[in-house]
This record gives sequence, structure tokens and C-alpha cells, in this order.
Amino acid sequence: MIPRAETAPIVGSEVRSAAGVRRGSESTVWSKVRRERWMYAFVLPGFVFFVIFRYLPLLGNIVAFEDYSPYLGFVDSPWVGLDNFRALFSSPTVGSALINTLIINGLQIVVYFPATISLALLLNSLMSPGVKKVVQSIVYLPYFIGWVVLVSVWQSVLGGDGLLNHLLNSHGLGAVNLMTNPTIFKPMMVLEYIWKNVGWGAIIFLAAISKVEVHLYEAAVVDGAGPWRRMWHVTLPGIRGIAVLLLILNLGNILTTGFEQILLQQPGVGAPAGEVLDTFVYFQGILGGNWGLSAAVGLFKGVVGTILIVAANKAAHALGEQGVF
Amino acid sequence: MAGMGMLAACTSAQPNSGASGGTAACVANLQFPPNTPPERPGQIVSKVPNVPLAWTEYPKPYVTMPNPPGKGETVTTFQILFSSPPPPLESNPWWQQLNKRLGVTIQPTLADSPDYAAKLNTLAAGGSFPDITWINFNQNGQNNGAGFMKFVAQGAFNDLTPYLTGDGLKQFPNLQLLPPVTWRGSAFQGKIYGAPYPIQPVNGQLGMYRKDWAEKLKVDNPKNAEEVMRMFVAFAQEDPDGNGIKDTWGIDTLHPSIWNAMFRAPNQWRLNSDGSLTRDLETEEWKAALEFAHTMWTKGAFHPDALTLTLNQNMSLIESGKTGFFTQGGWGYFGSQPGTMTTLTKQNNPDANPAPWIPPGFDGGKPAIPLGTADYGFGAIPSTIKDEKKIIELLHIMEFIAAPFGSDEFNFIYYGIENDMFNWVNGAPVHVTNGNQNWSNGLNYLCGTTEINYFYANQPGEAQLMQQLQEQQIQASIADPTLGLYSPTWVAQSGNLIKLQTDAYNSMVVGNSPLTDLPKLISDWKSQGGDQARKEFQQSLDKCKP
Amino acid sequence: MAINAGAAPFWMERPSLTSRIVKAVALILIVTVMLFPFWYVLSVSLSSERDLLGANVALIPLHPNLGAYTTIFQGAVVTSALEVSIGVTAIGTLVCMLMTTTLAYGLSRTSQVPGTKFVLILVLGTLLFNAGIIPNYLTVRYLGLLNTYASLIVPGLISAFNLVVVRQFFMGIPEDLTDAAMIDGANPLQIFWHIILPLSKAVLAVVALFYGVALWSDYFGPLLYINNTAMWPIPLVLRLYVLQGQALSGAEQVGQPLPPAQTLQMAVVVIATLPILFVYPFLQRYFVQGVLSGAIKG
Repeated sequence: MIPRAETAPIVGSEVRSAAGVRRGSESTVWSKVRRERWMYAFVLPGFVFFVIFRYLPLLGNIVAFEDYSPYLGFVDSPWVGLDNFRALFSSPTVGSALINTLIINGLQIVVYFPATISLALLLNSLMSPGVKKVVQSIVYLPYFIGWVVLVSVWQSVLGGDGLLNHLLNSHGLGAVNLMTNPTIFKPMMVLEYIWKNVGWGAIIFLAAISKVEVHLYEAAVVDGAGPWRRMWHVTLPGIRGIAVLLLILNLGNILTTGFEQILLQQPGVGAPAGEVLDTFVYFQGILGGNWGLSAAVGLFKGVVGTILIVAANKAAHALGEQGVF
Repeated sequence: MAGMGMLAACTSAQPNSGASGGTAACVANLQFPPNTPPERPGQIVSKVPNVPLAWTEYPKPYVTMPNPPGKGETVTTFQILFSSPPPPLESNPWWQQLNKRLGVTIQPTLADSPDYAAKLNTLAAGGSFPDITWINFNQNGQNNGAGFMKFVAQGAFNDLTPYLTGDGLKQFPNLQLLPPVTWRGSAFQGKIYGAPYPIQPVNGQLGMYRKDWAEKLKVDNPKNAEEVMRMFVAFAQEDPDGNGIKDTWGIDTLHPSIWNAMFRAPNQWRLNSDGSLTRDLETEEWKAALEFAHTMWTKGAFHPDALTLTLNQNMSLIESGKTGFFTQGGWGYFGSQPGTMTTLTKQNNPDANPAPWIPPGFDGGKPAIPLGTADYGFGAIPSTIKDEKKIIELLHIMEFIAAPFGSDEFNFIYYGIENDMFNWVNGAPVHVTNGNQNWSNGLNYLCGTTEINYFYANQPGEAQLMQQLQEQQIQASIADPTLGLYSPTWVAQSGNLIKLQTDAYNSMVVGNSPLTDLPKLISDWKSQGGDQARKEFQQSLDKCKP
Repeated sequence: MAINAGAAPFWMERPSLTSRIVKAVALILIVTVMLFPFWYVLSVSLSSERDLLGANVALIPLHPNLGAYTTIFQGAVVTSALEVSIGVTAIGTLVCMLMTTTLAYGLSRTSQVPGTKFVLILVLGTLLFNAGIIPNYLTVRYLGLLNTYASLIVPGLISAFNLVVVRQFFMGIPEDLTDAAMIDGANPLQIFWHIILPLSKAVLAVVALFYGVALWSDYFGPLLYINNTAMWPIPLVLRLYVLQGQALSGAEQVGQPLPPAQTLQMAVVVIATLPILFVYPFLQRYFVQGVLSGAIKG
């Protein structure tokens, strides 16, 4: 109901022309710099932080090319070139680890991601603010409970000696084996992940939804849209930007799964079904002090992630989205 | 020392080249002065060598180190924390007294046990180790040192062999009392790098079972593999608690070492007479143990969550009368003082009679129980410290911590300050109830002797029983021939190789894969580093030949 | 001014009975599943030995006691760790938010400020590449930050993820507003303070929550960078309670039995979690509809 034009001060056209002058292509780089010099003050501290605390340590990835021993240090550890990468790719188990990782993360993107949005939409549609508050606070509780406890609770319900099987047994049905069944291991991991994280993941969408301007809803109601159509035409488009952003970022991390979660439950199903890249690195790299291999995997993940993010970002642009950059 | 027989075959002295792989001096070259403890009332010295002392009564305090070993400076340490951190120095009277008694100011860096390896590695990377650094090759249970062996082999720590063996050890009388099996167990490449924290030579293999169940179901005292299986299956299938519900199981987790012991499989590796090494999973005995466990599983003797149960859950299961078997390291789960497994099990199940259990040989003969390293880490001195006087001083500090059972120093280290933290009850020290028990957490864990002195306050006969059980186990034990040897491939790959083995074992036992997968496991194990490790270990052993 | 939070927006119709029932059922299901683990944790933490028979779930302790909590708070170690955590989290969140919002604002117009696109790419690069334990440790060490509280805050000062999110929200603020302010002679600092920040309360609340939770629950940083256990924050201290009952040997002969290990573990989780639970409701009020249009009117 409030027309957009009123957001501009009374000197309407002057703003535009002034804006036009400012954004003209006749500005040179240097004049842009001078005009925006304040912005550099905003950027500088963060920039320095990233250089010192993120990029400087990244040089430590040199160990991917060394047989690194912490005692000998970066300089004195023997150089092995691409041997660590060779060992990584020729390992007989890395293939299944990679596939398992991609499957689990793929499932997460397909199932968990929409679940967080759906939960946010559901919470948003609650009438009573009291109920809203209570439900929101409850729903993100599992996020704070560590995997060790969550897995033991999960097992106490679904394990061989758990509530479910007790129920089944008391009704004369046989026991089901859910925890040591290699076939359903990956979906189980995803379900657990959703359980733990969906409440937390919804928060950012709740914030985004709250930014959708009210007058858009009002206009939709005037046009006769019911709640579902309002959701489809107003709410979802409103959070599309952040959703695309998160989707792209998640794609970049597609080779990283929960490490502790998998480690706790992997023994039940064995390596072919349960090994992921992060546990592979743990057993082959970290446990044996094989820093070179760990760093090689890290670099590999980074390269793959970069390719995926760049590609996804381009795709986003092609679809008219802002993307990440 | 039956277990150490194989290593004793090497007799020639070898010079050490120190660096990675393939070199080893003989552990058996290490000579130690006699370690017979001075006689004290209540002390029982076993006739079997290396068995810990047992005490029928707590000795009257005696002083072993009247003068503080330190010279007033600050001594930094790196130690491990198994429970909450100690109160800071300003509010910690125990710590303050420790400093006084040692004559130094202890400045510890404490790492919590799950993150100990990460912290130690950062100390290595940072280029400076504390003056006394506790190193444990077996901290993660895999005996591959998580890379620590690498930097010990690279010279990060002083070779303390001259001070801790032969005549050198005589200047540290308290350390001299440690049994040789502990020194040898903590040696690396034939050298001693620090004062070890001694534990029972056979550790973690003594079972606790529900003798009352066995007697009730008339399956007690199994003499061979068949009867063992019958007993545990009966625990699961024949309603030993008599409540009409099928809610009990024989055993919690799979416990492969017990069945391996029964079938006399090698302890990790077997040294053949021609000097070659065979890995346990390549042997017929291991296969037989595997098949046994699988049959037990199919008959329902194991808990269905056997593959994922944690120690806490195991404890809970036996305490609540749901399983008939339990084991863990140390000897504290026996004994009837408050809070032990035995006490709790009896509390919750009034008829319970939890008793010790050692497996028989599968054929009625003796089992082959794995002999451990007899240590749980050692206190090392970084090689940046070159001053001999300083080294000797640090060793005296460690000697203080290693004070013998019942000495004034021992009482302080483990019980604290008299009247504030403990009281004498019937001649034995007892912690003050309702008090803070955290004064010495982490600070007193270095090379103390609390685990090699069996003592149960006011429980006559218990200590002697534990000692006899240890004697039995040591006499039926076999050693790991690769102990103390350095194979870089093993260090790098053992995490993966052991997991490969464990995963395949688990999978075959519970039937997720067929027993016919064993040859594939063997060939995978060999190609993923097992053969290379074997070669390196064999090379080390070869260098030991006369 | 936000719309009156007590009433439903006037443009919303009353939902039908079916949809209300469906929503209610869905909610009850979700809430039960989500509440279950925390209820379990709380219940076990208050249980006594007798309640814990078997490996099964004990949902309502019949003999509740606070033994676990009194054990944990003995000796003032936990209380001082709580103090450390509160201090580090409060100050750390403030500093992190300051650095993040300023950098995000600086990068919010990459097409018009030369060089900032490069910085943005630089920041994004850190999302995917990790330096690892040792290089980070060495950096902190050589800057002399070992064993200081600063080492718990500074290495994680700006999270690339949070930065990207904040930047996204900043870019969503209509340029007309900022342009108008510039015409009126405002410099970027004033625009930042009077326009950008007030309009971003929702995302600032969210990101502050993210930083706060990360700071509060970080145990690995303190483990690596702090040697003095008196300076340890809560998660590291409490991590060790989870280990009690798992020591190698149980040879200690303590005068009074400890509460069962499980109870201690769960009490630990409760203590570590409760503070966060109290924080979120305060932040929720920033998620109310219509903040933007309010600012236009005002």
C-alpha cells in the first residue's frame, strides 16, 4: 500500500540524475578509489586478518608435498613431490570413501536442505507468538547435544537392544537390525543429521523470511491469494537469494561430512558402507602421523570445492541470481 | 620370564644408528640391577618374575627421598588428564606441597586424553618440548605411536639408557624397583627414553563373570572351547536371572583377544624359527578363533549392539545384570569397596557372585594370553636439554613420583595431605569423603607405581587372589615380537591396517560377510602395507642376530 | 517500529480447521522428536544409580538427586571455567561482529569499489581451504598469543561463511536509501551506523548467535593454545567429565562413590547447553516481520 516512490526524498528526479552522474562510466579507477576511500577503511582490518590468520597458515599446506614430521619442521622434512597424492589416489579404499561421501552429502542436499526451509516456513506460519517462541527454542536443541550423546540416544531407541525392538518383541514380531545394516547406513546418517541440525539450519531462513516486506503480502491478499499461493509467490522468492547462496556454499563442501558422527557408528557396518573421506583421512593420516596425506586430501577437497562453487555460481548468474560473488 | 623368551635369544650388542626404520639394538642387551624390594610386613613377593607385589596390610610410612631433588627452578611438564583439571596453584595445597617436596615449581601443560596426540604434535611442531614430556606409544590403543615414534626416532628426546640401566640405575633406588619387563616394554629401538608408568604385564585380559549364573545353569568351570560356548550361550538363552523374560546376554562386545587366547593365536605377530614374521590373521589359530566367535554370535551369546557398545554401556550392562561378562584394564573393577563393578553388580543383583575368569585352552590345555608392554607411557627428557646435571635432577624428580607403595612420598602422591585429604582407617589411607578429589589430577600421572601393587583395604585375600591370577596369566602369556621395534610403514599404516582387520573380523563374526572372505582380508592386509611393515620389522630383528 | 507482535497480521485470514489440525500434529511430532534427546539427557543427569539399570532409556527418574551437579561444581574448577567462557563469548562475539559487519559492508558494493572484488574472492578462498592444526598453532605461537585469552578469539575473528551471509543481507538493502543519505551528505560511516545496521537486526542477531555458539562450544582452540588449565573454558573442562569412568585403571579407592559416569556425562551436557537456551529467546524478537518498512516510515 505504501508506494515505492515515497521512499525517496522529495527531490526525486534530482536523485536520479545525481545518481546518474555518479555512476557514469566517465569515472576513472582512481576517481572511484578517491570517492570510495571510506570503504577501504572498512575493508582493511578484515583484509589484514584474513591475510595473517588464514592465508599465511595456508602456506603450511606445503606438507602435502613432504614426508612431514612436526619435529623436523616444514623446512627439514624430506620433499616427496606428488607421492602423497599418488598414495591417496591409488589407495584401494579411497574410491569407496569418495563415493560414500558424495552419496551422504548428496542426500543431505536433497533432503536436509529443503527440510530446513520447510521447517522455517512451518514455524513462520504459526499464529501464536508464544507457541512460536517455544517451538523454535525446542527445535534447535539437538544441535547443542554432541554426537556422542545423540548417537547413544538414537541407539537406545533403534538399536538391537533398544525401545523399538523391545516393542516389536513384546508384540511377537521379530527384531529389526537397523544399526549394523550396511544398506541403510547412509540414509540413517542423513536422518540423524537432519534430527540434529534442521532446527539450527532453519534459523537463517527465519531471519530471511522476516525481511520479506509486509506490503508484498498485503498486495497478494488484495489479489486474492490464499496462504499457499502467498508462500509460493511471496515468501519463497523472498528467501531465494539466501537459499541459493547456501546451496552454493554447501556444494563447495560436498566432500566434507560429519566426522565424529560417522566414526562412532562406522564399526557397526564396516568400511565399504561406512567409510567417508574424513574418516579415511583419520585412519590413514591423522592416526599414523601422516600429515602429508591429510594435507593432500585437504588440497584435493579445496580444489574440487572451488570448481563446484565457481560452476554453481555461474549457473546461478545464468538463472538471474546474485550467487556468492 | 617366559614371555620374553624370544627376545632373549639375541645376545650381541649392536651400535645404534638412531634414524628411521630397520635398525634395532637388542632389548635383551639391556641389563638391570636386581630389583628385589626391601622386606616389609604385609608384602608378598611372587615367585614368578615380574608379577606385581601384593599387600595384606598397608605398610607403615617410610621415607625414601629425604631431600628434595630439585634446585629451586621451574620445571615444565607435559602430562595427560583423564578427569577434570586440578585447581590452579594458588588454590591448590597439594600442588604447593608437591613443589615444596620436589624443590622446584612444577609448571604443567595438561592435555585431555582424547586430544593428547594432537597436543603433543603441536608441541613437536612448535620446536620445544617441556622438560618432562610424557609419551605414550599406545595411547590410542593401536601401538603405533600416532607418529610419536617418528620424532623419537629422529632424536627429539635424550637416550637415557646410561642412566636407567645397569649401574646407572643404581643412583635412582626408587626407579630400580621397577620390574625389568616394564623397562623392556617401554624400550624403543633397544634404548630407554624415559621412566615408565608401570602396569600389570598382562592387562585387560582378566574377565569378570557371573559365577552364580554359571552354577545355577550348571555350566560352570568350562574346560574347553565347547564348554565355554555352552556357558555363554546359556547365559543368553536359559534365563539365568529366572525372571521369565529373555533379557540377558552372555557377553557385551566381541572381545577377540579372549578367543584368540583360547585358540593360542599369536599376540599380533608370530616370530617363526627362521626369523620371519607371520601376522596373526594369517594363522590357522586366528581363523579358528574367528569361527568360534561367529558360532557364538549365531547362537545369540553376544549383545546385539556388540559392535557399537561403549565401555560405559558395558559397565551398565553388567551392573544391571544384563550380561554375564566384563573386562577392562587394571584391577580396580574387582574388590568390594564402594563404587567398583563388583560392588555395584552385587548391589543391583543381590544373588550375584562376580568372579574372575581366565579362558581355558580350546582343547583343555593352556591358553596363550597376550603379554602387554607392562607400561602406559614414560616420562622423557627432550634432547634440547644437554646438561647432564639437569638430566639427573629431572630423573630424580621422576624417581620421587615413582616412590614405592606405602612410602611417605607415595601416600602424598596418591592420597594427598594427611587429615585434609585422607585419614588413616584401620591402618590404610582412605580419601576424605565429600571432599574435592581433584587436587592432583593429571599432576601425579607420570611414572607412579600404584598399578603394580595389589591392595584392597579391609578385604583379606583379595590382593593375593589378584596376584595369583596375574601369575597364572603371565605364565600362560606370549609376547609380541615386534615390541620396541620401529617400522615407519607400520607407524603410518597401522591405523588403517588395524581398522581393516577389525572391520573384517566384526563383519565376519556377525555374519555381514561370509567366513570365506578371510583370504581376501589377508591379501588386502598384505598389499595395503602389511607386507612392507613385515619386511621392516624383520630387518630390525635380523640386525639383532648373533 | 515493528508490527505489534501480539496480533496476527491483519491481512492474514484465519486458517481452516484442517490446516490447523495438520499443523498441530506435525508440530507435536517434531517437538517430541526434538525434545526427546534433551529430555533424556536431563533425566539421566538427575538419576541415581538405581534408575539406570540396563542400557535403556530412563525417562523419568524415580529417585532424582543432584549428585552429578554437586560433584561437577566441586573445587571451583567448573565455576571458574564458566566465568572464562562467559567472558570470552561475550567479548569475542562483540569483536567478531564488529569485524564481520565492517568487512561485509566494505565488500557490499564490489562493482563500485575497485579492488574489493579481489578481497571478496580472497575471503571465499578460505571457505574451502584449511590450513590444519599445526600451521594455525605456529601462527598463534609466533604472534605471541599462546596462553592468552586473545588466542581463543582472534584466530576465528571473521568466519567467511558468516561474512558472506551478512554481506548478502547488506546488499539486499535498497540502494535508494543509501543514495538518499549520501545526497544528504552522510559519509559511509554514518550510513553504516544509522541505516545499514538498524535495518539488519535480523541477520545480525543470527550471526551473533552463530559466533556466540561457536565461541562458547569451542574446545579445540583452547586445547591447542592454552597450557594453563586455570584458563580453560567450559567445553574443555566438561569434555573430561565425559571421560570419567573410562580411565585405564579403576584402581582409585575413593572414600565416597562417584555418581555413575552416565549421570556425570549428561549433567555436563546440561550445564554446557543451558546458557545458550536462554539466549535465543532474546534474539527472536529481531525476527519479527516488517522491520524494513518500519524504518522507511520512521
